[in-house]
Amino acid sequence: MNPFTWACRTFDLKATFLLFLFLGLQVSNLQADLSIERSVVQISCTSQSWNFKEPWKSQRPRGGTGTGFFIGEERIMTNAHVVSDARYIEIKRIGVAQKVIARVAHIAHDCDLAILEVQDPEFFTGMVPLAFGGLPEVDSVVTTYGFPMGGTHLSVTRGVVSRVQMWTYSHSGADAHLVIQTDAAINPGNSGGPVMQEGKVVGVAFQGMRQADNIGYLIPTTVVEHVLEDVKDGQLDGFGELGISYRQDLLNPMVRRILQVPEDRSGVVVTQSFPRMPAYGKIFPMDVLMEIDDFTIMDDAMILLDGRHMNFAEWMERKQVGEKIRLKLWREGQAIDVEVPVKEWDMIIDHRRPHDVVPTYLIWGGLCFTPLSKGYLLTRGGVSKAPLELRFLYNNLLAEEELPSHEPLVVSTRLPHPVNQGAESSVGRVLDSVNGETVESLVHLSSLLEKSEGPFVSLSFLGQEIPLVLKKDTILAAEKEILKDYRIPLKERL
Amino acid sequence: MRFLFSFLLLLAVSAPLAADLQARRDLLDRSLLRLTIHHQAPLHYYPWKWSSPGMRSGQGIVVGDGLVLTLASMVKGSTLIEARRKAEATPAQLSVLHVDLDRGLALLQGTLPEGCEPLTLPPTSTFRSGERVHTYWKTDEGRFMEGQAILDRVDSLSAPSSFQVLTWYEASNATVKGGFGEPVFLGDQLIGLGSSNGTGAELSILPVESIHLRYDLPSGQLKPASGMPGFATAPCQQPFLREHRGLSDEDGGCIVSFVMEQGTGSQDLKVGDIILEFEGKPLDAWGRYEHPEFGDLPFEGLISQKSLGEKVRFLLVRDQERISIEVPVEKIDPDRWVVPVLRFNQPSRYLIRGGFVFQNLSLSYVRAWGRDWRKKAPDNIQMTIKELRGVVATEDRREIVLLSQVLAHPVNQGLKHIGREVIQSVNGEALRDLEHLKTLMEGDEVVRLGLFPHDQPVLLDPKELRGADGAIEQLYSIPESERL
Repeated sequence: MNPFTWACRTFDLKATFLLFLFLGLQVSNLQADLSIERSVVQISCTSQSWNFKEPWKSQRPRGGTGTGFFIGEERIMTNAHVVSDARYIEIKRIGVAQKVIARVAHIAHDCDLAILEVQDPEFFTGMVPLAFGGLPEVDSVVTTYGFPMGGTHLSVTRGVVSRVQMWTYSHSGADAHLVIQTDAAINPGNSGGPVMQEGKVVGVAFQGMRQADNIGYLIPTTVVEHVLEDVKDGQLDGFGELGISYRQDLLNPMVRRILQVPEDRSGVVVTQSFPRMPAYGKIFPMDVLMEIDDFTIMDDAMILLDGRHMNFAEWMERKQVGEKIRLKLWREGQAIDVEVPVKEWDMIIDHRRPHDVVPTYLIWGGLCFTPLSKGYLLTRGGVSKAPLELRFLYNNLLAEEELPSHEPLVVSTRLPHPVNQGAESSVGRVLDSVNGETVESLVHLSSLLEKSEGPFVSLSFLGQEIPLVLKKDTILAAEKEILKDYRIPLKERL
Repeated sequence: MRFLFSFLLLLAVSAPLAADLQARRDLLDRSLLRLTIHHQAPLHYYPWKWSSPGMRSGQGIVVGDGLVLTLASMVKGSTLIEARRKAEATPAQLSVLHVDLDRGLALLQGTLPEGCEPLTLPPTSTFRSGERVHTYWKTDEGRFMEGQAILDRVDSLSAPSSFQVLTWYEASNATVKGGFGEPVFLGDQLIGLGSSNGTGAELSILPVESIHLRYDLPSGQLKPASGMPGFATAPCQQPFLREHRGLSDEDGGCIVSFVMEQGTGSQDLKVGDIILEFEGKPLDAWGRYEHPEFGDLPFEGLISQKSLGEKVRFLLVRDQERISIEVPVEKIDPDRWVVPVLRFNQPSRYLIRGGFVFQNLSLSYVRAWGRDWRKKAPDNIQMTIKELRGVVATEDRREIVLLSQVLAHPVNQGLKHIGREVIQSVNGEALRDLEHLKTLMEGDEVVRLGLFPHDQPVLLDPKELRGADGAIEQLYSIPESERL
């Protein structure tokens, strides 16, 4: 079986990037450092995700293996995708027959990292926490440890660092962080394993690239340390953002002159400032973002950080949510200083692939209403296959100052029954209003339907001129029958 | 003996048929022309360019003195039209007198090949389901060809790029896929022209009645346009919606799903109205009426049989009440829409300043993404088209202007990735048209474009951009920086 397919099937991912670990091109003959060998573990996970089209159902359980390593305080680090939607996790040390049960303490889906806990403190006897190093130099050799394609013995392979840059993390599909690219071949099963240089962890192997030769990616320690710092208070807050979009318009001398930006200044031109985000009301379109804390932003959005050119977003990445950032702006011929805290995106519609998300729903009249999300859209072939109005809402809602709904809902499926005759065309549509009243959330929908007066309920959908009219008493009378006929245990999960 | 009898019987029956066929051939030999149309289409994605010249062949019928009738689709983008009656070495040259996109017809004029005689189109046609029709055409070599098909059904729908709902005969089991303007005969009667209406039928026939609706033959004079529906309907099949509106099981009725700014009923119908009857004819839930000969037909076809200004009556259910309204028959002029519909010969209007290509949005432009542009064209453009469907241009908004692409040049360095954008505003105000933008671009003040949907800004200095126009024209071989 093609390993790429295997990885895809194991972890239920079909993105361009697949999640798996390095396997060096050459099989190393080096004797692995014993302390490293003692600290690397094999993780077996049985996971079960949810069905976002029929959200009362879970998918079938799937098994997969990955790698993890000891980071101290009775914790194991691995990739989020190794243990996402976990129902049962076993960890095995090299040379120890007995496996132990683990549980997820923290899972950061946005950066594909997870921290596991093991109940049995004896398990860690003789293990040495692996120390973290910094960002490795380009062209320097890194050594990966893991269990490619399963197996029982630790595989040690080597590759070189090809480059360090911001890149999309395919586990969420919506987040970009720093990655280390290496030329090592990538195979499933090693996900979450440490990548070492001079006795220190410099990365966690996590994804490769299809349709390319020898491109594999590691999560650098800057990201790992962000997560470790983040969870110190026992809670995972994620990564913060300013909430702006920008273009590199200062590369154009005409725009530079129009904005009267002096020759010795540089930066990026803000094009949008998103409502409900910290920069809103402080940073405006056509502002030039010139400095972030003590770093000068170049016209191509880069800053010189740790001796490397990196996108200025990398500096924000190193801040914890709530921390403030000083920004120097150029506005109408003047330099302005502002201070803005960073905040995680307020998604409204979840753009991330769903992991450890239990979908909420409400079945009414044999129609299943559920929040519009990436998880739902993936069941219908992705965003590009959705109706135009739905795509447009999905892609543009974040920028709307006044939200039509705080939780746009779709009809994910219709359970055919005489009470919902004529409702076929409403499947896959975004619910706009009930009896003329805008629907704000699933809970709101539930109350609107409950308090609806009169025999008929009129449901309006985005992009459909004709409302769906259903009859309340027939629906109430048929409720139990529909649930029974279609073997649905609960009519709602709000 | 029995064999001889059968043979004689067959001879007796077929002899007159053969004579009829010969007579028809003689007639068509003089009135049917082989057309060779050389054409070139405007490229909308590169609005200063035209496609490579191409050639297509079709049939034309001599209908008057120096007048030839053919299909509009045959002459789209024509640069040279040649006509041959036989395999003449030197063809006759024809020019387009009139194109009627509503019916998909074109009238050509010129000095016809020697020996041509007009064919008289009968005022009406006959349709008999299951009967065999004959089609005729001439090849490039001047050969006379005959095909056959079986009449199948009658339907009502619009010609491509038209809003006029016409009656069509659909035929199946065609020996040759038709649709190139060939005359179609049922028995010895010409019933129409082989055409195309997008149904995918093997042979779609535009009946002669539709031709007479617009052309006075043999003079070639244009008749006034006839009615078009200014609305769209959807089947009213939801049982509880019907109950809610007070409809009984005996009632039919289709539901108005969209109302345009022009056309019959556009000022009087409302979305959600249920049309029970049109001109006293009861409609079923799909909006069809019972035609005495043709069976169920969409009622919109009846509107095209009415002259402009005539009154037509709708029986509606509106807000649970039955009302009867009388509305004037009107036509639709989609060329007046803010986003014009597909027009093959009409190039995009454009303005290039400093490599920034601005052009008007039309359905012809999005066709650059192919017939399935609804799957491929950018959402901002699709959304604009959807929101402005059927909206007539006004003095304040004559057209939608796109910033379609940036032709790379030092003057636009760093900005060349901007493109496929709809301009929402200019200097904070609505943009009227390309001329409006041109005026601003002729000034010396900075122009701030706002892009749809969130007014994302793009700053331009017209003076600097103008300075590069000559060099950009030369660099990209653009004959002219604008076509307005």
